Parts: sequence; C-alpha cells; structure tokens
Amino acid sequence: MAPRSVQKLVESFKEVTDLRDSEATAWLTKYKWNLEDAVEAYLTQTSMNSQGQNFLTQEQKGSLISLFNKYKQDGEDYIGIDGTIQYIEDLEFEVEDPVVLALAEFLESTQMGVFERAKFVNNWEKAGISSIHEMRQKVLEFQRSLENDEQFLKKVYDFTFKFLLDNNQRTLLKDTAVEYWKLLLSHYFGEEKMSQWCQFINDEWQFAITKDQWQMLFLFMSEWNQKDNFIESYDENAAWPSMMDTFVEYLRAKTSS
Amino acid sequence: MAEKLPKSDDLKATWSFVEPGLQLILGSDSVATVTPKMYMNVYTAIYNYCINKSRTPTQDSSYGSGSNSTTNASLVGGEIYLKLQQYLIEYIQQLEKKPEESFLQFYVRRWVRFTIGAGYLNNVFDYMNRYWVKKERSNGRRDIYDVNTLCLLTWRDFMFRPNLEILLEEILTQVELQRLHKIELNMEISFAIKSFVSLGFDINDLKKQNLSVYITDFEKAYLDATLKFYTEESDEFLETNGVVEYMKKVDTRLAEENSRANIILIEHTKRPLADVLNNALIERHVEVMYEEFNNLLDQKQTEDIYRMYSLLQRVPPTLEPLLIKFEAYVKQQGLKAVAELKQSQAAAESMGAASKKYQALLPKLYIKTLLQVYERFNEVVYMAFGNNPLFVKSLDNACRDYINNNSIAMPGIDNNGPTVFKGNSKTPELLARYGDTLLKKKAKDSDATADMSADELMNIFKFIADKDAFETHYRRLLARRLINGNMVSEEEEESIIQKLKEFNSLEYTTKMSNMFADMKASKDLRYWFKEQEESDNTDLNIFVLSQTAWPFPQFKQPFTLPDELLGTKEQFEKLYSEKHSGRRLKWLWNLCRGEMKANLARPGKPPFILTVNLFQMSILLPFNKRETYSFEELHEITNLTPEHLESCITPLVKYKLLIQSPEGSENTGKSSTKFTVVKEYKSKKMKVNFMQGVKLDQKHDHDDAQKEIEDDRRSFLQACIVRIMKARKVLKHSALINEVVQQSHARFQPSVGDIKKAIDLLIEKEYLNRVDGDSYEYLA
Repeated sequence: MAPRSVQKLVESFKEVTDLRDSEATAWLTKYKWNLEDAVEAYLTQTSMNSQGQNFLTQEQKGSLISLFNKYKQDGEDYIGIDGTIQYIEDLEFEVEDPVVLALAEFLESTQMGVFERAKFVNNWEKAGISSIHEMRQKVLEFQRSLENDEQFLKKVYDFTFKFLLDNNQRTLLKDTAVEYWKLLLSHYFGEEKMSQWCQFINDEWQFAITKDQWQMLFLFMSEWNQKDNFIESYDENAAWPSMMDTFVEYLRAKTSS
Repeated sequence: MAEKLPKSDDLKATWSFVEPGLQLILGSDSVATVTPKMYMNVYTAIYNYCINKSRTPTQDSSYGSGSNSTTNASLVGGEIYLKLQQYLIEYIQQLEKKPEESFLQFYVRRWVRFTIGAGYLNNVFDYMNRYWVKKERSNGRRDIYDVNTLCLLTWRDFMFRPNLEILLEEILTQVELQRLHKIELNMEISFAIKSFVSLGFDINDLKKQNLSVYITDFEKAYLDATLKFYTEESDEFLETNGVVEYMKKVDTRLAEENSRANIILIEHTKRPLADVLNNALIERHVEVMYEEFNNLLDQKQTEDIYRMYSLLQRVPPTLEPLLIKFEAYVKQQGLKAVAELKQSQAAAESMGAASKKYQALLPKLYIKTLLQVYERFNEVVYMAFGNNPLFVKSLDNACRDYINNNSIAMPGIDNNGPTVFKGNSKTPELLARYGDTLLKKKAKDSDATADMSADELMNIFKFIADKDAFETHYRRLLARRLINGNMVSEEEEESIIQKLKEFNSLEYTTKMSNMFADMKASKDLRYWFKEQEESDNTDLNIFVLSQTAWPFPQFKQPFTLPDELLGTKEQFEKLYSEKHSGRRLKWLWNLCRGEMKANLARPGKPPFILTVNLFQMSILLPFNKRETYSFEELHEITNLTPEHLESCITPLVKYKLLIQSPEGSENTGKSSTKFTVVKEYKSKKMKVNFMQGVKLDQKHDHDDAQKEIEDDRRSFLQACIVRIMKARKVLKHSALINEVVQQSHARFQPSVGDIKKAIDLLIEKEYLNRVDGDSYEYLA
C-alpha cells in the first residue's frame, strides 16, 4: 500500500482512538487496513476491558473482600455452612427460600452451603456490587426473575440438579427431587400440576431421577402449562423420556376412573 | 355394346357410350352382366376421351380451378368427372328396397354390390384418377376425389345419411334379438357396421382410416344400448336368481359379448365396450358380491370364489374390499379355531382327564390348529385367487395376526381389540415345544409324531413375530435333548437349524450351532480322556459346554461329591487344565446322572441297573457300607438342602428301594426319619429309572427363559441404537425409532416404549445427547 494512504488511515484511526502511531498501525494491520473494522474491534475490546477491571474502586473491592472474610470458615478459603446461614440471614432471606438457589447459581457454588472465595469475589465484582445492601437488591431482582422469567428459572433449575448431587452421584434420590421440584416449580407452573407430578413420583416411581429426566421435566411442565389439552393430546411416540409416558398414562387412568 | 367407340373428343357421345356399362358395373336389377369386352370398351372410351382432350386444349377449359389455363392445358377430366358424380347420385337414388326385405337387408345387399362396383369403376376411370384427379388434389382441391372415394361419399350422402336412423335402429334391434337368443348371429349386421367404418374419410389423406362416422354414428349408440340392456337384465336376474347364479350368467354374457365383438365390431370398440360391461354387470353389483363372499368361504365354494375373483379382477379397484374381507375372515377363522381348541381342552380337564397329559399334547394340538387354518386358506389363495400376490399378502397378514395373538397365546387379551403385540405371546414357546415333541425320542409304543414334520414347524415359524423368543425356548429344549441324548436323529436336528438359518440369519442360529460344536468336541474329549486315564473303572460320559451358548444356569446349591467320584473329577480337571490352560470348568451337578449296578436281585439273577441322578447316587452310595441312615445323616453326607434331599429321596422310597420309617410322605423330610435299603428289590424290569419322580422346577425354567429373552432384547435395542447413531451422528427421534423397528423386525417387534427406555438409558450413560428437543446426537 502506498505510504501516503497508509499515513492517512493511521491519522483517521488516531482521531477516533487517541492512540500513538505504532499502536494505530498495529490495529490497522491486524484488520487488513479496513478502517471501520479496526475501529470497531478496538472500541469493543477497550469497553470490555474497562468493564471488567474498573467496576469496583479499590476501596469498594476492599470492603467486598472484608465482607467475604466476615463469613468465611476459619482456616479455610470458603464460606461454610454456618457462614452461609449467617450470610442469608444478613441478606434478610430464609434459608429455604428458592432464591438461595439462584444466588448459588450466580456465585457458581458447587455444593450446598459452600461459597469459594474466588467465585464469590469475582462474581460480585463483575456485577459491580460490594455491599450487603446492594447484594440484597440483586437477590430481590433474582426473586422477581424466578417468578416471571422462564429462561432464568430454567437456568437455576438445571443448575440445581448438579448442585444437589454428591461427588460421585449421577442420579438424584426421588425424595430430594420431589422436595426441590416443589420448592422451585410449584409457584411458576402451579400448585396443582406440581403436586400431581410429585404424587406420581411418590406413589408409582421407584427409581432415582436422572439428569435427562430432571431437565426434560421442565420442558414437560412448560408445555403442559401452555397447552390446554396437553395431556389428552400427548403422544407417546414423541421424544419424551418414557417416564413422562408413564406419568401421562397414570394421569389418564386416574381421570377415567 | 358392339358399336364402334365414340369419337374421342365428343363428351356427349362418349358418355352415352359408357353409361350402360357403368350401370352394369355398379349393379342393376337386370340379368345382364359385365363382359370383359364391354369393360375394355368403356375403359378405352374414357381413356381416349381424356387423352384426346389433353392433346388439344380447349378454351372451355375444365371443371374446377380453371383460372389458370396453362395448368390444365394438358390434363382434362373435369366434365366427365361432373357427369360421373351426377350419374352416381342418380344411380343411388333410384335403388329400391324389395317388398319382402327389411331395410337392413336391402342396405347390406346393395352396399356389398356397390363397393365391388366402386372398385371396378375406379379401374375404369384409372386414367382420370391418375392424372386429372391427382393433379387437382395436388393443387389443393380437397373436394375432388378418386373415383372409389367419390362412390363411397356419394353413398354416404345419398344413401347412408338419409336412412341412418332406420339403419341404426334395425342393427340394434338385431343385436338385441341376438342377445335374447331369438336369432343367430348373422353376417348382415357385420357388413352394415363395417360400412360405417368405410364411410369415414380423412379429407386430407384419403388413404388414412378415419373412424369418425363409426364412432359418432354407431359406437356410441351401440354402447348405450348395451349398457341399458345389461343394466336391466342384471338387476332382474340378480333379483330372481341370486349372486352365485348371477356370476355364472355374467361369465357367459362376457364370453358372448366378446365373440360378438370379434365378429361385428372393430378393435376400437373393445375397450369402451369392456368398460360398459364391467360397469353394468360388475361394478353396479359389487356390494351384493361382497356380501356373498363370506358365505362362499363358509361353504368352501372355491369355484364360485374363483368366479367372483375373476369378475372383480376385471375392475382392479373392486378387489380392495375383497382383500380386506378375506383378511378379516381368515383372522376370525384362526381365532375361532383356537378358541374351540381351548374350550375342548378346558372341557377335557374338567372331566378329570389327566391335565398333565393334556399339557403335553397342547403344543401339537395348538400348532396343528394354527396350521389347518393356514393350509385351508393357502389353498383358497392358490385355487381361487391364482396366488395373486395381493391375496398372498392378505393371508400372511391374517396369519401373523391370529398366530401370534389368540386366546391361547395371549389369554388375558381380548381378541376383538386392536392388534398390538403387548405382552409376550405364548406361540413361540408352544412352537418350540412342538419341535421338541417332534425331535425327542418317544415312548416306544407311541406314534404320536407320525403326522408332525419340520415343514409344519417352518410354516408357522415364518409367521412368528417374536423370533427371538422362539430361539430361546427352542435352544433350551434342544440343550436338554442334546445332553439327555434323547434326540431322534441328529440329521433332522441339523436340517431344522439349517432351515432356521436360511429363513432368518446366520446370527440367529449361532448359539445352536455352537452347541452342536460343543457336543462334537466333548465326544473327542471323552476318547482322549479315556486314553489318558490309568484306571478305567468309571465310565465317564462328560460334556464340556461353553457358558454363553447353553442355557444352563450355574449350579449354586450346596453339594458334596461322593468320594467314589471325586477322584475321577479331579483327574479330569487336572488333565483338562493341562490341555487348555486358562479355561475354567464349572460343574453342573444338577444335570448329571448315572447308572448304578445294584446286587439286590434274588440269588442267581443278574443285578438291577438303576438310573439315578447324581444326587440320588450320592444318597445311595453310603448304603454300600450300612443298611440304615437317618435323614439327618444323609443330609450331612451329601450336604444337600433338606428340600432338595427330600425331593430326591421321594422316588427311591416310592419305588420301594428304600424303606422309610416312620412311613408317610409327611415324614420323609424329618431329620429323625430312617431309611433302610431293601434286601431284595422286586421289579419286573431289569432297568429302573428313579429320575422321573424328581420334581423339576419348570416354572423357574420358564421364568429364566423369559428373563433371558428380555435381557437380550434390552441389549439388542441398545446396541442397535448405538450402531445407528454412530453412523448417523445426529438423528431425529422419529427417524431413529423407525430404523430401530426396522432392524429389529427379524427378531421381535419392539414397542416404542421399549426403544425409548433404551434411549433414556443411553442418554444416562452419556452415549447420546438430546439436541433441539426431538433429535439425538451421538457422543463418541
């Protein structure tokens, strides 16, 4: 490329970005001297960087870390059971509240009552939050989402299965599953439908719950919720797990008798 | 006509000269005939006229297109053509019917003569045809014709057209009279009808046949009359004579119409005529024929069924309901036959007949019953339906239905309900037992298997839906035959396996083939062992069988092998493990049996041979040392469970080899009960079998078989899904189900539920993953 036009492009790039010549040349080379592409890439990256790094001031970050330290287990680098209970209480929520699962999902907790330092600090920091008050606002926001955002609910629901498993477990005991189904889904899909399902599991189902069954139940409930004659028109030949077939058969037998 | 030829340039003279000849050529009522001389004179006169005129062109020019005189200068004929045309009209118009003849007769008589005359006339005017007419036509004149055509056209316009109505009416009346068998078929109408063909012309190409007159003026009327006639006749005939007679009548009618058509009609009419006849005689009456069908089947009227079939076959869509009826009928007959068998079984049992005997007879009776229905209708398909593939298929469908699903095969299921193979049909098992009855050595007097055969077995086998269940049951029974050595013939056994292989697959019979291989290997092994063994006081008949092919579960109950046998066992194990290192022998003590020599006969008589199972042997051997043992002592020696010990000891007591004290079967299993061997055994037979009295756990065996079938199915389905998904990577749910069903077809009919369970399991094992809601992807 002719030196003159190179210089022109570099100048134009510098006008927008306020960079030095060498840096501007590097960006432009990377994007094959396409000014628009290079500018856009530069802006995208720099805005991301500033979000990640500059969400909290040093001071705020310090208070976030001392907040973590307040709850963390002695001699460990995570918040344990006792700390968790205290933390939830300070957020002014019940430990049994389903929103705790949303919080656990948010903080990437791997196990009941455990919040690791890195996950705790990073995730709050990314959200630009450092005080217990702000955290409560965020959790309140989760609570609203659980009630009216099906995608959000599904994310928390799918997370819950893995969250509830012990280390080498692959399936969930049906009693545990029933407990959490009621906790998470009753409100959204309706008391009646969930209790029919849970009663079926209690009375008729003899196996532990697999991940596939857990995940497919959400879709099943969602369709049941949306279609009036879902049970009547349910097709056993469709791709539902056979557990759903058994449930529908059970429901139909119940209604016909 | 002896006068001199006219002057060649005088039209009037020429015409006067030829006219009387023309009259004769075309045919007159006078007795005079055409002589060769006259014919020549006429020809020459016309020739001369045309030639002369052509040589000296005249100004009055020619008829027709004479605007351009040069084109006509050398070819003349117009005036004479006009004369001829006029003459033909007059000639035809003066023809008269004789008082005694019908119009049709008159028409045909004249027509036949006229057409001959027209041909001659054409020759007489040959010169004009060849030059003047040809020239005119090639100049585009479409209203000038060769003389033959001119004759026919004139006939058409002045004889045919004015009289068409009466002609047609008389023809149709004649046909109707023929149909009513009042008059014979005659050639008159044939000529009349053919005249319709001859009178059609293609104005542009006179040589081309044109059927327009035939089709519009005759064919349509003929078809209408035919439809009307047979509509009326068939309605009436059916009413009074019924379907069977009617079908015979139709047969005759169709043959009659066919031969009539060959004589009086042309090829073109055959198709529309067949349509009309099919409609009037068959399609309009299919419903009553369908109604009669079941009766004919009931009464086994094969000939009438054949007649119905061949009539309906003329209109293929009418066969469809017959197929459906046939399939339903066969199915119903199959179910009925089985239900009757079931009833008579139940009746016999309630009359107190030994149910065991009936149980043993059931497989044969059942299979025979299934076969009879199949054979009966197979013959119907052959005799009445000419093995039409559609009917073969209907028969197959019906057979598959009643053979797999009937009141004996599926006792709990209502046979009138829809056909679903839920639950397991008993037919495969009963068929396997039929095979066992056929192939097992029978009691000496019995010829119960004389009317059974491998072909019968195969005939039913091809309809079995759960081929895998048959294989499992058959293999279990085969295993017993093999190790009990009570096969009738090895060739027969192998030929059946060969047939199964051919019918299904190589894989299907792998296990059974391996069993035969084990048997042969065991035989060699026995010879080898005999050679190795130092002492040969024991006659050891050993089988080494691979665990995967043979249906024998491991023997897990406690048992102590008697010292007398221990040595041989250990020696065999030692030698065997030297020969085949790495193989492990597991002993199936429960399948062992042996013969014991018992010196309990009266002095001077040969000893008894006792056939016993190994446990009985271990019970009896101690009696060599002492005469009496308590139950408790025997239990300690043999280590058998008390229940097992009791069931083995019972026949020994029952057949009075051991004396029990205190007596009574309730005491047999008590630990203090004593058993004493008799001093002298009384039996008419030299060989006594004590094994038959031992209760066998058959229910357990049946459950084992069922479990084996189900386990095999589960793993088959999983393997099948993995195989498909490995090849396809991503597949829609419904497509996967279809492929699995297809691939399972030769073994069994999997339900969608079973397939879905297998899919669930594979997702759980992380072989598969759900994508997009209704598809799966393969996880390598």
